[in-house]
Amino acid sequence: MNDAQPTAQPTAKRRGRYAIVPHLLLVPFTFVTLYPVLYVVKLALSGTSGATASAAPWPTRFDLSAFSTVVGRTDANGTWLFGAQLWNSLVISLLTTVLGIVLAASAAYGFARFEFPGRRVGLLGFLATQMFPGILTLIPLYVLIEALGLLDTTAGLVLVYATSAVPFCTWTLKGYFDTLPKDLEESAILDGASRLTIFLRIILPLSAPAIAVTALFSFMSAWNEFVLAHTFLSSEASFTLPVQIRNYVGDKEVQWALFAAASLIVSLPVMALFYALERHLVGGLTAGGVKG
Amino acid sequence: MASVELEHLQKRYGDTLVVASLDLQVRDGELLVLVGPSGCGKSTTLRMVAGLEEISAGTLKIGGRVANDLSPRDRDIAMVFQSYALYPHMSVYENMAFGLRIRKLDPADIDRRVRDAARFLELEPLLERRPKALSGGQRQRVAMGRAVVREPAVFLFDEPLSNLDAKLRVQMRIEVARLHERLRATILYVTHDQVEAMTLADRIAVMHKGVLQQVASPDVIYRQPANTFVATFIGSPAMNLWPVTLEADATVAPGAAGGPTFRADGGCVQLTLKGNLGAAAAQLGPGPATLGVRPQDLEPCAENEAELRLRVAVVEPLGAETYVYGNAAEKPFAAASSRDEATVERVASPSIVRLDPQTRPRLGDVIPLRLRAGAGHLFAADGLRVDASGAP
Ligand SMILES: Nc1ncnc2c1ncn2[C@@H]1O[C@H](COP(=O)(O)OP(=O)(O)O)[C@@H](O)[C@H]1O
Ligand SMILES: [Mg+2]
Repeated sequence: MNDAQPTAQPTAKRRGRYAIVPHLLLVPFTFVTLYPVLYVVKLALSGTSGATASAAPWPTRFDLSAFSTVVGRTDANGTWLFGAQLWNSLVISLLTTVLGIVLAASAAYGFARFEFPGRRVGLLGFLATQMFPGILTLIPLYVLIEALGLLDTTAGLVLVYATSAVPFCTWTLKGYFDTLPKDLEESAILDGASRLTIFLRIILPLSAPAIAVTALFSFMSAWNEFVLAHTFLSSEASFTLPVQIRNYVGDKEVQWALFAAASLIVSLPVMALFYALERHLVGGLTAGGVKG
Repeated sequence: MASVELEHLQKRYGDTLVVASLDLQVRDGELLVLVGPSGCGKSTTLRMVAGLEEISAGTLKIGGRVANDLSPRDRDIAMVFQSYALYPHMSVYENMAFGLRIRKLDPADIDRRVRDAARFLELEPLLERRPKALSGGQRQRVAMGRAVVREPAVFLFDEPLSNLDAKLRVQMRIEVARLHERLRATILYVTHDQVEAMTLADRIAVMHKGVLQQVASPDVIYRQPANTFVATFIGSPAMNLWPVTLEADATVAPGAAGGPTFRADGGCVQLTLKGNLGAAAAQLGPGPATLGVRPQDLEPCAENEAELRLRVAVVEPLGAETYVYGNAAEKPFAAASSRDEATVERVASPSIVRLDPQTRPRLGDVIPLRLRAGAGHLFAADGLRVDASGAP
């Protein structure tokens, strides 16, 4: 948080003094933002024996038993539940991402490059789906998934997640494709490349930053999703991790430490992904502003 | 190698006619430069030849074969874009090899072609670089290399040098000339820069507002411009144009041919038309016309011989020569005969003259000028040049 200005030029110094005011304002905001996170860390480290009631956000104990309980959970048959659920979450999120990107990228390319009847309606339709709360589609989706016989399956959830990620991803990718110079494609056309070749060998490689952003978005929304998963999945072994987390909050008893420990475990992959993709993300989010 | 024939080629966007019935032939092995001001339809024409733009009407033949409906890849052409359009994620080598790989050439052949082109274009040390790590001139050379390796029947260039600074542009111009020299390829080259056109072309096609104005060798375009547009567009600084009225000069005896001698009266420019100009005037007859004279075809003279007096507004000393911009002086000519002063006090359009580098006129000076012998062009009221020596 400290404002370490390496250069001591007069102008930089002046700017540094002015920066004090925004920083003073930012400190309380930062505290408000971090408080719940810190509190979850505190809860997770308080051990299975129960939480202290103090409101202080810093850990008072360093007990990892909550983590070992969460990770070590098995069911009556001896199936390693945590392992199975982690696997479910990973598979569902990855498949969602791949399927979502494949569908969105090809749709976005079509929207970006071709004139066809229904182009405008299609784009606006995609936009419109984003205006309604997702919960609205819960019942129709349930009916559909049940009719397809995909309740309580990985495939069912992947299908639902991927299709709901497509509109956002399509818009993002179309926006990026629009910024790629048309000359490149025309040059490739004269080089003799087919549309598919151009898409695969010119457009996609050049769109890596935008694809990273949309992939991360798809992965995260699938990884964190709870309501649909909770509705469509019924057996514990097919749960995703968020559903399991919710289960620590029981009707009679709330296992706060387990809830907190599991939450932290679930957060780790997303944090790691953000860290790994950081450079691409910045590139992708500012894409179009500057063309390399 | 192949010729390219454009027959009544036309392009319209909705109701806008962008290219009007173009008739043009690029001969086998010829470098034809299509030149014209920005927005006149040059790129559109080129893109119709490339197959990137649909042809609204007319016939396009490449190598004698109708190509209207051929897909771009079947036209055996390569195009160099103004933006270079290099693939940013591929190395220089891959950029050049891409088109050959797509066409599934033998890898050894691909390698040979790429290395040959790289040697010729002095790109060998850069083959592993990405376009981002190249200078403008190097990118331009890669773009040319990418076309060369394809060994196409026809090369298309769309303003390939306009993104380069002046010095590099001259260098690359030579590079293009060298390329043409070596390959003897059919090249259709588009530019808005008349210097590029004059220096590179076997023949120049001048275009204006979608209409072809003249097709001829650089020499003919310069010496016998078909109309006032070509006359002012080619040559720098531009040719002076003065609206004049032609009238028979009663004070002079009829010429050897028997016809009357004509005078051109443009208010501020007044002269008796001799030689070719006289013949052109005789052909045109009395009435309004336009007199065109290039800046270097005016020479300073004694006050009483002046056909034009220029009041100096801007002096551009360029070292080897000095250009003087100004308006024709308001005062009546010493040489002007019996004309009423009031009618002469019109101001002609801004005019330019080229002087010796030693001459340094001061602002406001009035320089008496006359036409060099044999210089000048007469244009009819519709802008077409009157050619007394025969058909234009
Ligand atoms: N897609 C289009 N729709 C309408 N007008 C166009 C289109 N493309 C080009 N034009 C018009 O056609 C004219 C010629 O364009 P262009 O061939 O690019 O000119 P040049 O290359 O000579 O500068 C311009 O006036 C331009 O506005
Ligand atoms: Mg153009």
